[in-house]
Amino acid sequence: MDLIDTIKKLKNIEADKEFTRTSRSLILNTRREIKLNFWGLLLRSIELGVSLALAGLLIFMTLGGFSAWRFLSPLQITVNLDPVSLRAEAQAIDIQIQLANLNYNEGALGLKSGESTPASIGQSKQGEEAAAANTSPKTENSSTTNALSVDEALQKLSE
Amino acid sequence: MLDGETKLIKMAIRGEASAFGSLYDYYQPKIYRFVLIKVGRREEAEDLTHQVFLSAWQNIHNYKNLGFPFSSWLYQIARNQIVDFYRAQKGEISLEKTDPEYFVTPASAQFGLADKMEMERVRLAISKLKPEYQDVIIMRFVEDIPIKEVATAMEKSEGAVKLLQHRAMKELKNLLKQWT
Repeated sequence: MDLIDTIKKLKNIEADKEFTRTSRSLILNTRREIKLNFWGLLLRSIELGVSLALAGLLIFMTLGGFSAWRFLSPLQITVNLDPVSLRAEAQAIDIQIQLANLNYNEGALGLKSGESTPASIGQSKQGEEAAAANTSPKTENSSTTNALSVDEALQKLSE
Repeated sequence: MLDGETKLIKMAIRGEASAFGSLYDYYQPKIYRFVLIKVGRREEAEDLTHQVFLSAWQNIHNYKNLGFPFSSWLYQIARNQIVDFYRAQKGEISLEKTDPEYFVTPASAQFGLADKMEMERVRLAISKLKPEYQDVIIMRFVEDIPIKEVATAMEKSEGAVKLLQHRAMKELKNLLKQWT
């Protein structure tokens, strides 16, 4: 038999499986001292600090019911979701709708009575001289009517 | 070389035991064979192999990847452990007095008795060689490690390893011829 072939057969030598299992377990369960340099220590301390800060933030937000978003959110969404401002906004919208209805109703009344509005009074005084001249005062009067009608509308609404 | 060895070593240096476990699984059989062929007794081989990997695990931060497999470093540790072992034993064990069947490992059960006896005779002859000759024969012929890596493990030049290999084989043949 060739000597090299015989030597190569020694490759079939294997350790006992029980020994391998026990040795592996013992070695891997051994505490290993990890030597750190300055940067390693710095990195470790930064990691620890960041993890503690994030844990604290999570606890703070959990206990505070996420109310901290009012201060932390860059979009300031919660300001728009403030119930007081929302209520005020809703009331303002209602008023505008009611004012629009009031203008419409007032215009309709003017068409029916003729003398009740300043526009119709001006129109009767000037007579039938020029139809074109009536249009400009009519718009001015309508704007004043709008300005006045806001206050009046609020009074009416309060009644 | 183990796939992803460099990454595993980096993870092991960071203290990840599972990464070192993968390295252990791959290299333990090689180191065990290396040690057993040299020391001849299973108990000692097991103790020494355990010490090699324990030492590797505790000192892995000292390992520097020079482009060679991790095995070169492990073989260096194993060689030092064996030197220390023999220094402590001071020739107390007589290898000739042990029963050849004692060395037969489960994996070699596939061989006949004649093969086993021949293997044991060659193993015994290898163990009688100088430590450097033993190392070069085991690494080159049992483990098929390239000369470059053997040179790294033995801290010698490639030329010196080639010369050692030639001399080792010559001496082994002479020894076996004397025994017949």
